[in-house]
Amino acid sequence: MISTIIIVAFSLLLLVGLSAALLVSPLRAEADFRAMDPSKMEGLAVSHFVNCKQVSRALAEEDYALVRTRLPRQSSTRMRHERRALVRNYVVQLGRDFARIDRLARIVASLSPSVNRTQEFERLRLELQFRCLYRLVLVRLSVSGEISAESLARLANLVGAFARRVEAAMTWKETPPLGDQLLGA
Amino acid sequence: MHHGLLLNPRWAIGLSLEIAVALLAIRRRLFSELPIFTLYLSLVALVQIGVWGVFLTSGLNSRASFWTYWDTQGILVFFRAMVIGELARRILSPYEGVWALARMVLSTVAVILLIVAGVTAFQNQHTLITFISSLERGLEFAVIGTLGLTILFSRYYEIEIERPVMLIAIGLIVYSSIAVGNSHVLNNWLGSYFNIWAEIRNDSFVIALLFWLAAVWKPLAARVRPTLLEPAVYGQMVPAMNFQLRQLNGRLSEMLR
Repeated sequence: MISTIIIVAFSLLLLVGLSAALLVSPLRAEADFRAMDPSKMEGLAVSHFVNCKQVSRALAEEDYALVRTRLPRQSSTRMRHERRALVRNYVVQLGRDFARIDRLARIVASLSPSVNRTQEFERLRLELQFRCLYRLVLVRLSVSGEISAESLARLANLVGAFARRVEAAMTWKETPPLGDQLLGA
Repeated sequence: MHHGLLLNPRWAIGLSLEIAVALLAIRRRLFSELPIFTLYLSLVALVQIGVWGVFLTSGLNSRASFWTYWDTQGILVFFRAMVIGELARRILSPYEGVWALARMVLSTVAVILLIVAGVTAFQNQHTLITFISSLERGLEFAVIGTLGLTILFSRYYEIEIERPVMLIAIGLIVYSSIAVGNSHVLNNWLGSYFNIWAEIRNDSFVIALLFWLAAVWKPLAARVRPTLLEPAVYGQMVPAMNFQLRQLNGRLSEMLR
């Protein structure tokens, strides 16, 4: 009985620890720009989503099916691995773009004279959700290695739309550019 | 008269350090920037001198010593809570929007932790010592929770914490964390542990004082207020971002199906 309790308690502890590590530890995509000066944030173009067409092309199922019938087995396996690496790298770069915009959003919130409680809590919740989902997608890619080009394109379009909104806000016509204000802060 | 712990040189070092830190804080005119913390430091030194006086005249094991010690600890815990409010204000108040949000969250968390402390102490009334140590543990836990949350807020919104303020916060967290653990052990082992408990308590406060000494070593400059954005920027940007984030999470969820 005692050993069962210990095993259950240990499993729970492990689960809680892993969940906490998952939520608290920064995304790998965030690591590079964590120490970056906030005043230079808008100089960092959110660019990876624009390469989506090329990535989608590389992932086109019909091309792959054609190549697979013509290439030797070894070569088609290598191609499959390379496609998987390409998708993984692309998702990581999208995460990086997202994380960069997210950081900017936090700075904007901190420099705003009033913030909306509901919006802030919602963003926090969504961020945590994003961190979990993003990691799960990467795990899925590692395990199965498959993700459709269509899904990837939709994801990229979202990040792109997100970036355009931020860019529009940064050049808000009634205020000095955000960069100037951040430099003045 | 029983001098016991009073002959311990570490107690004398602790008292000397308390007086030195309080005097240095006054000399550095810390009261213009952090008046409550300066008052707390002065109070710590004065209270310690007063408590020693009672211990020497009445003896360590007297009723008067017991109540003097715990009454003054109650006052000091109250002032520590005030110091945390002051630190939170110092760190976050220049950022008006975040400060309004943080004030609400911190007050709620502090009230919940205080209620938990009260209820836990009420349920631990087996002896006076267990009651007081449970209450103290709960209050110290409230100190850690509130201060920790303030630091989390500043980390999340990338608000810089001045080095001396951070050192003061670390000192408070270190002392309160050790006090929580120490009270927990005291509750379980009581008498046999009391002398060790008293020494750990004293030493942990010396560690906190060393952090505070580093904090008051140089004068603290007045807080620079940042230039804030137009309210419309937030109103235009954040709801749109949240909307996009919701959609993004939806897409990520779809990929996992």
